[in-house]
Amino acid sequence: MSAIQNLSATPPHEAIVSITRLNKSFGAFHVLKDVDLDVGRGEVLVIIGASGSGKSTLIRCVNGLEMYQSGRLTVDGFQMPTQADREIGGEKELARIRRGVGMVFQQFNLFPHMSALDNVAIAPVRVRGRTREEARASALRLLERVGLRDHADKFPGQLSGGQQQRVAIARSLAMEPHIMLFDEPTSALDPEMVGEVLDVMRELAGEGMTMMIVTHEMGFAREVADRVVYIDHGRILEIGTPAEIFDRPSHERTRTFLSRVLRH
Amino acid sequence: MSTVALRWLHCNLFAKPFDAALSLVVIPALAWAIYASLHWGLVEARWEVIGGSLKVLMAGIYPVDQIWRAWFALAMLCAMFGAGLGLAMRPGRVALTAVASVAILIAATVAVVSGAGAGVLAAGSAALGLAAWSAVHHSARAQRLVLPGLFAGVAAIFAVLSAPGFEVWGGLLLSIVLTLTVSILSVPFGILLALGRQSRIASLRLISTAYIETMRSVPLILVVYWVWIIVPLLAPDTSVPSLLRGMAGYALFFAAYVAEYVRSGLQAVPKGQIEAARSLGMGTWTVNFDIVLPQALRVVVPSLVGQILDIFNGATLVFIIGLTDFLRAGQMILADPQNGGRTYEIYLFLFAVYFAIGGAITYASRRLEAHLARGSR
Repeated sequence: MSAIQNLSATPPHEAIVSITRLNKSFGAFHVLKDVDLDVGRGEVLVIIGASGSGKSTLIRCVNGLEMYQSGRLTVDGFQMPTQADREIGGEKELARIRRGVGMVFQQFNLFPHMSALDNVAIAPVRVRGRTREEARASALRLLERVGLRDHADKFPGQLSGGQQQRVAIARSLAMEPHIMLFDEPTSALDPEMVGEVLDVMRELAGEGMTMMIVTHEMGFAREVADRVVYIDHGRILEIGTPAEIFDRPSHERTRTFLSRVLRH
Repeated sequence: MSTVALRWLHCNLFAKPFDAALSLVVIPALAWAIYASLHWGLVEARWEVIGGSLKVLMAGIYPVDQIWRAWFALAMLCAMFGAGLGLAMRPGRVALTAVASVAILIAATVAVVSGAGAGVLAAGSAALGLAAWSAVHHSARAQRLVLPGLFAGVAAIFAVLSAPGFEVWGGLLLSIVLTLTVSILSVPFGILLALGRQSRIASLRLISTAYIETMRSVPLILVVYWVWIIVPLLAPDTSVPSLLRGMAGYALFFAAYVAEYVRSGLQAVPKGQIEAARSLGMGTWTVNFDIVLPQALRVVVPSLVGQILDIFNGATLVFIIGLTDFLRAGQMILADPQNGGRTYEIYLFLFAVYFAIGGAITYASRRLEAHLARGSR
């Protein structure tokens, strides 16, 4: 059993995200316990688990939205400062890491006072120092890529949930990230809009983007994931290929979880 | 016809015994009050005192040979007010007609009292305001010019008015320019205080909180008086005019209130907005000024416009540092033994003007609120 785990725990290529013995707590609540995980360049890693198991917290640690107390986390060659480091000012390092890591949220979090085009163009202008024209031109290309070129001048309030999420993906891509994090990107969507967002993500995976995805879409996970991670109560219980996790789960807990989510 | 009237009377005034009793008391009393007011207003009152002292009420002791400067200020103020209106309100036919007829009425009165030249200048200023209203409403380019235009306008008013010295500013002009300047100065300072109060840097947070709470727990008049006294002590070699010291006091005081409004706006911005901005690698400055503040200010703009009314009404307190605002100018006229018996006329005029300006500001704030509520989703 542990032989299978060890075999699959090694990522296919060199690691772009490397997590060693990471611990994170919210006050007295220990959310992540001694997490070890490497993500290879170009790998699509899907993280599954019950709600409250710490899967969102884990990927939020990867771009520093959550602080961790102990362990080691390197992203793209940079070491993520721990909570203690950040309290004495490790923010510069943090901004540098974030520039290379895109994040897509459950609630889209588009900027409501800007058009779709400006949502995509603002970060390259403000963070990378691109000119407005340059940034808008490439923003338009990105919107075209997610199929929303015609909606460039609309405001988030005028777009459907699926369209908003696709703009959010384009917004992250505008920073030319090396890794994309997806925190339950389809959970807030009406069922008929889930497909359009998954299509964009599928395409992105096909282009070789490194992706860490927290999702409840098991069909999608099975189809695009290189490896699937099952988290239970803040611990990584199992890592393996989709076939290993979905067809031959080695843990009783994994089996119970899957039987609950796959029943409907 | 008469049956309809009778039924209306029955339903609205005499439906129950208590209603009937109330109506029998209130209606005659009201009729008498209206009759007495009209009789006083039309027969007994000596309105010449207003005409005779209009210049003092409007511009205080501003030198008569320099009075074109005050007219320039009026034209600028009208244009700025019109431009501001253009951002929030459609210049529909009814609104335009209403504003234009009020303006014509005022201009005609001014022409009768102070001569045709003054009437033309008043009408011209009003026309400028209406033009600005329409231009800003219809052209997106003009809309972008409103904010810089506002600053340029205030700067121009100061440049033109200051030539004879700040000591001679007075009357309604002083009240309005003070209100406008303080409104503009207190906003950026208040925003910085609000951001300071939320800062992660403890010392900054402490200083901002202490400042806001101190200012909010003392009276305005104390702050104004205190600044007026302390500036000459801090800089004994320079003589800062009372007016500027007064404006500084008002701005320092009202900035604390702006800060509290802005803080409520900042809290209304969802946490996800900040997380999204941070995840794109934006620094604190960019997150605040491009993402958080535009959304926060949108929420608080109606409150800030409402605060202009507080500042305008609070401006009556500048008499304590020896300035002659609109209210004080009225009292000065009454101090002249010649006008001894004209108390009611003067105060009624002051009341009417304060009420008109206050009502306009309140109305603008309401419209702005409705306008912004429609725009956001």
